[in-house]
Amino acid sequence: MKNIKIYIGLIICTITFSACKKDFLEREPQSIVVEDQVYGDPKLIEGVLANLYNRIPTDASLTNRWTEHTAYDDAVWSGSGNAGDEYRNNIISYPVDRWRLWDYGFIRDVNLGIEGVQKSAKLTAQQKAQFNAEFRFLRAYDYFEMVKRMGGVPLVTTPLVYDYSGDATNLQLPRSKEVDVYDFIATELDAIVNNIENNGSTSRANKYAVLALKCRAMLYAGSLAKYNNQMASPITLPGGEVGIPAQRASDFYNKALDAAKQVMAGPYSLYKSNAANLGENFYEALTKKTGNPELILIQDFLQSKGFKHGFSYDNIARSLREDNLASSAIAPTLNLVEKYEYLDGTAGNLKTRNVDNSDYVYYTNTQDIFANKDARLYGTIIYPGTSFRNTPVNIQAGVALWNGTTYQIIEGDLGAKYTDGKLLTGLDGPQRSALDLSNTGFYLRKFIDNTPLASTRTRGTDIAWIRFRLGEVYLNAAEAAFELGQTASALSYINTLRERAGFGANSLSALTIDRIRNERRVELAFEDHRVWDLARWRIADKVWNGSTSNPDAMLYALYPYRVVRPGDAARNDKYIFIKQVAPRFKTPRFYQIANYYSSIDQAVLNNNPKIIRNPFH
Amino acid sequence: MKIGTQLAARLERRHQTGVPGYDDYFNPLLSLYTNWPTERPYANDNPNYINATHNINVNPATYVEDISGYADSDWRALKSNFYAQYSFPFGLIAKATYSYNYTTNVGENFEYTYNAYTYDPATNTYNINGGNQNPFRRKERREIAENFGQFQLNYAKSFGDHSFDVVAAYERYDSTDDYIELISNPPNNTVPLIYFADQTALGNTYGVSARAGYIARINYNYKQKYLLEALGRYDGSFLFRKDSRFGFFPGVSAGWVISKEKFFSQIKFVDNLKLRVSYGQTGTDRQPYGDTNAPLVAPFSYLQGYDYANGGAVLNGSLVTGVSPRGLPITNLSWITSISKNIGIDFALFNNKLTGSFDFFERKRTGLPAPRYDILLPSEVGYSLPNDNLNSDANRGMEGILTYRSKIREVEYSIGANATLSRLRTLDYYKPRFGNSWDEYRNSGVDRWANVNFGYHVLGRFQSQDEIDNYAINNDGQGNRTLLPGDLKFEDTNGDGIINYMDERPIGYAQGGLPYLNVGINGSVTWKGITLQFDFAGASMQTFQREYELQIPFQNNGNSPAYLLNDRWHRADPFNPNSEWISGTYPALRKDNPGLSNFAYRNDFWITNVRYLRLKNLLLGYSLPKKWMESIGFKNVFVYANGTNIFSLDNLKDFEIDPEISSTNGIIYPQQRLFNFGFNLTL
Repeated sequence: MKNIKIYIGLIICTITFSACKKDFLEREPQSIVVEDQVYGDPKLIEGVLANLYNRIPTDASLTNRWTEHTAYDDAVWSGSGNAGDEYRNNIISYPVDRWRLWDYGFIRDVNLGIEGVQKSAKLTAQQKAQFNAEFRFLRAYDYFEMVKRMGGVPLVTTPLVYDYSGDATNLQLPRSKEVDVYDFIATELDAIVNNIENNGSTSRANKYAVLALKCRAMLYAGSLAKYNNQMASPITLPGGEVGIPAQRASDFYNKALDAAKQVMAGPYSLYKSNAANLGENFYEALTKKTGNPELILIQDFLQSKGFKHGFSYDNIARSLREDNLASSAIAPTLNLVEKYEYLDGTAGNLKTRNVDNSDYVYYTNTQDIFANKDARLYGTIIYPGTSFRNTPVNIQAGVALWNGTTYQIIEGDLGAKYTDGKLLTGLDGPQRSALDLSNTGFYLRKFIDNTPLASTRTRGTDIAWIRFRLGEVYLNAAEAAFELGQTASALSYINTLRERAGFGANSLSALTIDRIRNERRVELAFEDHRVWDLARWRIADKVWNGSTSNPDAMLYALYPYRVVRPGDAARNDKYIFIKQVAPRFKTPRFYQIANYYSSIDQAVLNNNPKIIRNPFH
Repeated sequence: MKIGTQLAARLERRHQTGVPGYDDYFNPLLSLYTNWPTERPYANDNPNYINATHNINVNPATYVEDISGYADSDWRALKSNFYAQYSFPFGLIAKATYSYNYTTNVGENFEYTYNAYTYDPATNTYNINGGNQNPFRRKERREIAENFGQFQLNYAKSFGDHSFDVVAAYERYDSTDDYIELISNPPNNTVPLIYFADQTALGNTYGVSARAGYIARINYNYKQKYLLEALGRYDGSFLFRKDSRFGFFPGVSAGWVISKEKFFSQIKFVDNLKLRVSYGQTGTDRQPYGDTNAPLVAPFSYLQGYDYANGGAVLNGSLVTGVSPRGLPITNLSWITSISKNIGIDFALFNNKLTGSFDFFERKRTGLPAPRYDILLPSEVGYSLPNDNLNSDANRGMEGILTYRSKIREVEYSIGANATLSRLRTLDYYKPRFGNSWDEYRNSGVDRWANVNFGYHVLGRFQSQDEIDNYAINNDGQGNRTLLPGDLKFEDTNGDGIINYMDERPIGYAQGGLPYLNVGINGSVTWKGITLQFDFAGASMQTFQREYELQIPFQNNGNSPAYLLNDRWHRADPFNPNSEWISGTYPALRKDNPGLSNFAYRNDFWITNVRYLRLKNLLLGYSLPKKWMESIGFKNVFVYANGTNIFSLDNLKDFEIDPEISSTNGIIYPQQRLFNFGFNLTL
């Protein structure tokens, strides 16, 4: 018996301490790979690239800061009433750090990638050239995103290693000149354009994505060179960290136009598969990922693998929502709607009052006021009387009751009936202060998924975010050509694009810079261009000057009402429309000179005394 | 030789209604505020049709398992403990212990789809108007395996009046935590099984931890009068890099039982008097702030390399898992040292009727993590310096307990009280620096009480529009254009004519943390087998700030507590903008506008120094007479009724919230009042 006890005792002692590893506290991680493994395996390098592709900065995409689509003039915020959301309707002035980006974590990761690929003993020369090119594309892209926000930034092209000596002054780099950063981007992209492969890919950069990036960057540099120097007092720093010499303008425009021509000569074409319905065609051009010849580089998602987002959940029209929360957050403004021209080429202002302004214009159906408009309006915005996912939306603010001398406006709950048994207020509003419901009378169509259940949180949507598409390249080409005085070719680019929107061939025969800019606004709405375009044209401070009397700085809504005027058959049960400031919108947009370049974080200045501040900060 | 084992098992099931949202409680609690009084839960009050309220998500009619779904959680745990002990004849005892604990948790969530309706009286129809078409199904499984082993040598010996007790031990612990979850988009509300075709997400994490330590302890006493203990631990954690993995933590304590001294024997009313003093260090490898169970650094932070599964992108149609370089390895960081210093006295007086103790203490933490920021790495390097063990803080305070026990005839009773007063003080910071003296005043923590609660001091209320129009100080940052009579008037501390962050000053105690003062009162009365016990707990010196629903009228397009709406500044005739203002406790109503200075400027109008005394526990019991019980084979049978959280005396009653919650809008699962009835059998 005693022996048994001893045996058991020994067994316990053995179990307790026998599971002896070399070192009990030295454990193996399960998800950390070492450098040699990464750069010895093309699949893992692809993983590094995937991580970086997903981190390319945007001001407002479908996932990153999507809410900021409502911080400018194409939309107001109509979602939740949390103070952190609602402030977008009440921005006293844009903070000077609003667009701040000092993305050197990204730069470090790219530089480590370039170095790792270079040192790898297992990759073929061709693989090395390809990966090198792709990393450098990503670096150039990131520098472009920085320079357009901050002006010239330090150009770091190798990993900066701190040696723990207690002194890091050898790692201090000054800011480069703004013009040098744009030149760096051009040189880098020229160096890789013939090495990069990925032919036919829309999610990894190929030759045409490289050219499209170059085209956009050079157009920005060109317009900065031109328009900054046309300001009453150009924004510059003595060392050129901010401010591009005026004489570089045509060089940059030429480079932009040249890159655009190469892209347009490539295998891409405008999406025109749905000729029967040009509005739907434009919607498809932005949402179809396969069989879409227009896409050059996208940020793709894959619902079936759980790589998805909630942009449709947050922004689908109220009555079509499938989840029990959210919807309708981005409510497009009347400002944007009116920028879509009539197909006869006249300005897009909606006719709510008759010619001598003595009465409303009466429409039989709510959609009639939008008749004969640029098809891109339908493709971008859900307006009264249209459908989404084959379901009509129900946009009606209330009824206008004729009391003998004037109209009395009556509004009610969603879906409520008026005393005459007909609709009072539509299931999609608009209402003045309701949350998760449009308060402009419009909903977003662009980028909203029409797949069933795509607006739920569980399923989500995998609509892609478009970084570059051919439509933009046409606009870049038109603008660069126009700035270079090549008006005829500018016209042909613009007209090609307008033809797809239903305008007919050669719809324009004369061109102004304002017309090109308007074309850019309506074609590229909600694609993260608006604020950057206004900034590089140096008109943001005039368009958004913070004045309540400036119709560009104020954001407007359009409220449809059903007329209740028994005995007046010409008017009764017709629809009238009232333009008004969007009710949840409180403060005019105010972009100040100090916003053209964002302020540099105090911590960045503290860490490196060679970094100088931007003007006005 | 002794061997032994202990086995224990636990089965636990939680079953509740599954409500979409942050957790299963938030929305039901939120709905108390959010629903409008004009809305009904059911369309046309017909319980077959959920009404499409303005926010269906908080319609209480949906919080029913049949409609909303369920959330189950099953815990199954086995704890086992084996030991063997061998006593050598000369007084040495060797003991080995091994424990293995195995715990599984299975979570099952199923949130159903449902429709909401709007009733159309004209046609007597119920029309579908929204609802929830977002089905959700999740199955999660967690397996935790823990190993603990200890080998201990114990030697105790007495030589005359000298007694020694020496212990040396080695122990180690490791655990693994394997978690997997499956999420699907179920096509119907009936089949709970998850099929591959419906699956939307799969998550898998694996955690590991390991610790080892050497322990030595020597106890010595002389005639039980002079007591001395020395203790040392040498602990290692897998979180730290090899060369900073172990830390040494010594401690020593001494006691003097004065009442055993000869000169004390004259003092008859003192039964026991003991002086204690101790100093001890311990180490922790857990977070010093916030979630104190979380590791101090992420495991393997000392390793360079690349993180697998960090981000990712869809490249050429397939999802590519992201790989990214790790930041600088954390190589120097090691244990946080906790240093406890204590001096105290224990006493018993009057035949042990009155007992008590009194202590002063300090619990200091050194080696709190912070970066060495004076080495300025340019931000352009793309990484930052890792934390070192640099800062320190301390909890200082005192506590005391007094208990009086006695008997009047057959009634035995006791009454006791205890109190603790303690506050955290931040001590050393690594080379503190400040831009100016205001910056130091506002932001310094060097040798200063922690958790200073800054805000604006309210001087009073604006009495009229006239007063606002002529007010010289910019009270709202917008030239006073947002103000109405009854709004809060802030103190312009620095006299610069505008109210901004420079005017903030300390306005309260710590918020959301422990109150500085905690008290307890307890007692019992026993008479012939009948027992009454009570237990009060109370606290003071803690600040509660009302926010959101408890502050802003119609927050989030919802309703508000009645007192916010009734007792307010308002015009005598709401339809006449020229009628006079009537004063009230709360500012005039402006719908759902959190940006007003009344709310957006954190101020002392909305804060309360919480004070409460709560009857935590009350028990009434009866031991059935022994004669009866022994005859049926029981030694003792005790039947009782007990209640917890019976009532509280507090100063938050006006706000209709519990004094012990920290959620500033009151939306949190509240304290429960429980009544138990039971019996204890002793065989």
